[in-house]
Amino acid sequence: MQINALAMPRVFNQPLTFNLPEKKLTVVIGQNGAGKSTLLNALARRLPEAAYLPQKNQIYDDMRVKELLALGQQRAKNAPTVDILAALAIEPLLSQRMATLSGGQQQRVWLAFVLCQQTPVVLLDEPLTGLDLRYQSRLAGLLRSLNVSVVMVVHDLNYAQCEADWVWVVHDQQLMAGTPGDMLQENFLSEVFNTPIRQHITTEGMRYFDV
Amino acid sequence: MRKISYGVIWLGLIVVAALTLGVPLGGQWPTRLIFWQLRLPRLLFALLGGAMIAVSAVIFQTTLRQRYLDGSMLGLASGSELGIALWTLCWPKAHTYRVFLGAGLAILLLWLLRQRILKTMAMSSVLPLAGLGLAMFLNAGTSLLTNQQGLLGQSLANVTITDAWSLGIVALIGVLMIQTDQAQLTFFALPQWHVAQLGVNEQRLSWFWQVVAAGYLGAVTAVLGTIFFVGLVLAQVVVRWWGGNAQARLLPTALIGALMLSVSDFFAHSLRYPVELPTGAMLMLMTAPFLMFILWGYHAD
Repeated sequence: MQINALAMPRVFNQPLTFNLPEKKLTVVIGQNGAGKSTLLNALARRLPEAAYLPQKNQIYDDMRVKELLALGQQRAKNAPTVDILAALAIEPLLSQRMATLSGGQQQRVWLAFVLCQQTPVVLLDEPLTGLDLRYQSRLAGLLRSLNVSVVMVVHDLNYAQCEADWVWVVHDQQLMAGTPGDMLQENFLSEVFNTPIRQHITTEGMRYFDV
Repeated sequence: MRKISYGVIWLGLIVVAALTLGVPLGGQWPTRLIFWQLRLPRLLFALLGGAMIAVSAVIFQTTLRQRYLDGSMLGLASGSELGIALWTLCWPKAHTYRVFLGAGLAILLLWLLRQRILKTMAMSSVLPLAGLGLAMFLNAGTSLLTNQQGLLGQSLANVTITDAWSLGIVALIGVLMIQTDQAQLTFFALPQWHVAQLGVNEQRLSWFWQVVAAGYLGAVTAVLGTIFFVGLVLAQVVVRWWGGNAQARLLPTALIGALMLSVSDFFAHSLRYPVELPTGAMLMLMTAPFLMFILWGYHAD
């Protein structure tokens, strides 16, 4: 999907024209304040068909989980083909009030709220915040099974390496795109994050980053 | 628990209605004339007016996503009161239909506030302060114009039959508007971004609800005067006591409001009979302890 002349003057020195990979999982990385959230926000405004989950989400009333999800489902045109509630283990929470849930539980509910809208494009800003390893792993599997175009901001380079089909790097007022193999290189990442980053390879051939 | 609460409130309403309508004051039973022309309109106004003040607060708190706010803190009641005072000065006959006038003026002031203040300050903690500043300014104007104390509210002893049926019509119009399919107060529990993504025009939806809320507040204020904080407190008492989303809280909040104003008016009428105490002052006196209760709970949280 071609995105033309996306203007974000405070972050990028010129309007961006780039390709949003369809039905792929694209991970956005970059320093704090580089403009990742601004990019996602601008994309959400450009693509009315997208569902967007910002970093911070607040409930302003006494609302139960099932009421929140019912609002999200109002946007869906068809019955869900994937059991989102089961994947994120939402069923036991359905009758609970949002205010009584832990941060991680709330994040799972917000993710379910966005995904149950069944939009062709999903934009997630730091969706892993508060999620334990089990749900981080489940989320990637769930996003793949939904067969939609996903753009998500993450800070975990190992997660990006394991799960991404495509990587966007926001750095120095530019957006760079490539495959994880191309973009997740020691020297490049060390320059992007302005800190030495090393990549290790285990005896089983697994690659991982540390600082 | 909720059924018991409903039962207690309904019982309270029946008791206070029976006392207001039937109790002998000054050693005399009410005559037929007093019953139909004084006590019944006054009771109906207190029941409906209390419900309308409380519902108005729920709507403003929800649509502006401000927990501790009501229409009086936006200056709507004070503006409506000042407008009625000015209008009556120019055209005394307008006083007969002051309830409709009050509702209209509050809606007009709401429209003006939405052009700027409610756009830029919605969801900001500065909004209640800015609103109170405006309310104080308008209230001072009313006090100077009418030689009244201004802040204590008025007595419901001056309720006329016209006031009662006028308020009934305003209440009914509001209820009919609230009943329409698209009117989902629940959307305001979400951040603005999510509401927009769900395809809901928040500006239009909030205008719809706030018109009802402002109309209700202005209509009651026309007779009762400006009552600060009462709606805020009653709405928050129901949040703590009942829970549930805003749409579901409308009915219990209305009932609590009806009970509180009718009980306050009963005491204002009977405590120092034949002297009529200001109903608004009595209402604020009775509501203040609940504010303490809410703030106590806030710290416990």
